[in-house]
Amino acid sequence: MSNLLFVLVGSWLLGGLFVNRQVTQQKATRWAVASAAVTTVMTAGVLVFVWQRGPLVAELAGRVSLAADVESLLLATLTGLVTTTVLAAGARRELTRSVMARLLVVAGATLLVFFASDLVTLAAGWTAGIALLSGSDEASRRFAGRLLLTSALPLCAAVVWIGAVGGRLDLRGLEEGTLPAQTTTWVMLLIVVASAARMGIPPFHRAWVRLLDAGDGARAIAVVGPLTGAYALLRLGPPLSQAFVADQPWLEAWALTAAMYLAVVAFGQRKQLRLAGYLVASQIALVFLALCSSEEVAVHGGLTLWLALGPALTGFLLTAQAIRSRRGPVDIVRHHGLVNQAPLLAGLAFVFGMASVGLPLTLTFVAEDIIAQGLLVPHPWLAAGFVAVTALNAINMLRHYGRVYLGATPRVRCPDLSGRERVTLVALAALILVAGLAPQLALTAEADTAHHLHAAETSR
Amino acid sequence: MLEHIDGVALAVAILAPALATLAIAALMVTGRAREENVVAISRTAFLASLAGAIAIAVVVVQDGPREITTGVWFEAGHHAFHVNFLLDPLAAMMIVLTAGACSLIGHFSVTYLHGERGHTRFYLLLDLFAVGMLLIVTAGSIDLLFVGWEIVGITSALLIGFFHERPMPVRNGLRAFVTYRCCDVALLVGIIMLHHYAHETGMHVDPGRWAAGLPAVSGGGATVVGLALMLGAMGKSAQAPVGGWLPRAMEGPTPSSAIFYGALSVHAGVYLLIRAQPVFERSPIASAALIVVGAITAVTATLTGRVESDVKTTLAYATMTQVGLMFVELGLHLPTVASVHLVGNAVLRCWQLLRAPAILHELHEVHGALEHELETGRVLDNIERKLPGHVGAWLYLRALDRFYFEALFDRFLVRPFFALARALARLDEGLGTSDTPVAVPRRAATDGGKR
Repeated sequence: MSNLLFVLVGSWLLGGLFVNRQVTQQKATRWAVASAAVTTVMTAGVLVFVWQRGPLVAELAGRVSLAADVESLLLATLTGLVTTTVLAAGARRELTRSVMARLLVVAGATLLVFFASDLVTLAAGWTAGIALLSGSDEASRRFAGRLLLTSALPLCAAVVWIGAVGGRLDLRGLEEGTLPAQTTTWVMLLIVVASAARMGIPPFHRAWVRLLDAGDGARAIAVVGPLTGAYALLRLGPPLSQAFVADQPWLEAWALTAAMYLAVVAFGQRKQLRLAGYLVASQIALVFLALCSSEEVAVHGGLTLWLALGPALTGFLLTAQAIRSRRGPVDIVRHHGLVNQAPLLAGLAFVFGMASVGLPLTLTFVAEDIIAQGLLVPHPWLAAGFVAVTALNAINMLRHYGRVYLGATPRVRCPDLSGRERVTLVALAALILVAGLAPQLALTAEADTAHHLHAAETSR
Repeated sequence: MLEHIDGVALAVAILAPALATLAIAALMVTGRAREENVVAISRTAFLASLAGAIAIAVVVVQDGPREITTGVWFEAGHHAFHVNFLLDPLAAMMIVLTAGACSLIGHFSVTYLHGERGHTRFYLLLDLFAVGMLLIVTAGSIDLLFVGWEIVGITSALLIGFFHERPMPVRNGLRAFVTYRCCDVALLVGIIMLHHYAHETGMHVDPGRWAAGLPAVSGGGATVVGLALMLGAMGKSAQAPVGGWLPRAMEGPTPSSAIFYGALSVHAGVYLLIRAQPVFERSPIASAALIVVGAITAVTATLTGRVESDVKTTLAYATMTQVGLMFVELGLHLPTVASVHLVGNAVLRCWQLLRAPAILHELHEVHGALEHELETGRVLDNIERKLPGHVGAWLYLRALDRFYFEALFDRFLVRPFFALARALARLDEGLGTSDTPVAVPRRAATDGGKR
């Protein structure tokens, strides 16, 4: 049973190789979607198993070992969901055979990060996941290059440093605290930088926004959907330095300033995809803020927001990308009135957009409520800033919706969603609403992680 | 037998429009939304909801107030979101008013919006609004009230922008949403502070009171919570200086104007403040603030309303005036008076707004029957004549400018904010290759709602 973890990672990698060998685009698409969907369902099955029976540990030839608990399998399922949705509902023009294959392999590398039981595997998955994002076009090459420099390099440097000073490279060994205190602080700083860069926290956000603006939505979503960047902070932070977050209040200030900055800059954009990019980055910065806080309830909310934003932002970015593929770049200086030509696209864009910023009865609303509850009393200014950012983002989201979808019907035709897009996105919207109506499942799943994280952060 | 009726009736009252919303959404997704189907679904749902509301009122009148606990929506750490409902005389009155008004508007709109392009969308939003409003008036905790509050806010903004082919309704819808959202920040802070000070946010029946209220908080906590709740209520109830969205909201279709800004939504803030009376009774500062805000709104709105030439805008200002007076009543700790005032104003304004499109026609009919024109506004004209000439002229000019509330917001908040956003966007992109100019809102703040 434990080898299932290797099966899941392998399934993504094999899927990618198989799709790359298909002769026609149509066949490649079919195989890519089927492979992603089957692997996602398998991952969900393993999640249920682990939930009931406890964590899994798997070894391959006595060298590589993987481990998975509820948290890592939740994130693996989220990765599968995001990848499947992108492959099924992404713009066909953008999803060439090679891009689809790369997305599947990137998902496999992401799972390697989530299931890693040692630092080398984690760094390998982390770096591979970034390197494989690079494609034949300039925008993706530049994006992957920058991310390798700002995210993979610091993480690899941290791993090498730990190895060089004689620390153990398996995650369990880290908890034993064999590193000198001074080294630990610097290693933690490298990990925080690696995480922030991969999450697109300022000043590392521009490359991601440019990638999205260049029309490379699939790769952009592959980065933000599962929010792999936060994982290093989550997994390595507590065992390495138990009091790091509590000792570094500037982390919270950085996260809040980043979220606020991105929210305000989003108002200064005139291109739809750039605005969407800044909005998404601002919401992601709120996850960073909650994870950096030393309050258990806020951390719990942050973990839930992480789960909630994945599907919502994926849907939102896919609808934005759908318009670009139909109409080309859209400015938001004037109203475009797409709702009459594409009512379903408009309706779903509204649901995804508002679900990304805390529409009532969605999981994002629940998560933001919990974060605010957790922050207000111990950190009133942080909480006030948090609530202000959520308000700004909600206002800008509705403004964006008004500009793109409302207004006089344009002369240029904009077809509504195709059958494939319709089925995928309606299912995703239904999932978002169901998760919002019954949020306790997600909250229960995250409770242990939040408690563990908080206990580690506050123990000295 | 009545023991179980309340829960069933409440479920019917709230779930009927909720299911109608889902059904209409499903019809829209599958492309099968026909006018007659949508109307049939909504009418049935509203009638069921009204029946449930009447049953609740009967139960409450016969057996007294009760609390219904359905469980916990979610919990994390020490924070739990309880889904509790409270049925007391105030809730019973409001639930009948809400369900009744929604049924009436649903029925009225069948012919009024017949053949309109957004017919299905209107009913979808009306059903969703009914869910939000029913949650507000039956909520047993302020947490649940906030959920309904947010639903009402979003449906309100979308219905203001109903005629979206013109830019002005869309812009005005966004303006209302901006006001709601900013004031909701204060409301959320108030709710969390209430959690902190009182360790709960449930509303409880007090035998000495007509309406159940929030837990009492004393000292500085009462002032903080009271002021935060007041700010939240000011947004929804269009009080000065943030009430400029209400006249603009009249861009929406008449039935939605009637139910949102005549009958229900605009009174949601008053309802919240009635529930929060135990907090205000312990804070003279918060009570005084309520009186000041209400009085300023009442005076400025009544003067502004008198210089407006559009009937719906005039009615909007009349509503603001009356709601301002309700704020004063609540500041004077007269919740029963405010409740009666609320229901009376809601019914009257709803009726007036529904009649507004036909008022010229009716007036001509009356003139024809009387064979001479009616003399109107004589009492008010006499008051104006009693004012010194320069005072009257000064007030007239200020009223034309809507007492500069919107212009000041525009100049000192909106424009600087967008200037900052543009500057940061330029900085972010690297000087010289900026993504600006940005879509700055036109001088929406000063060009009037209907004008």
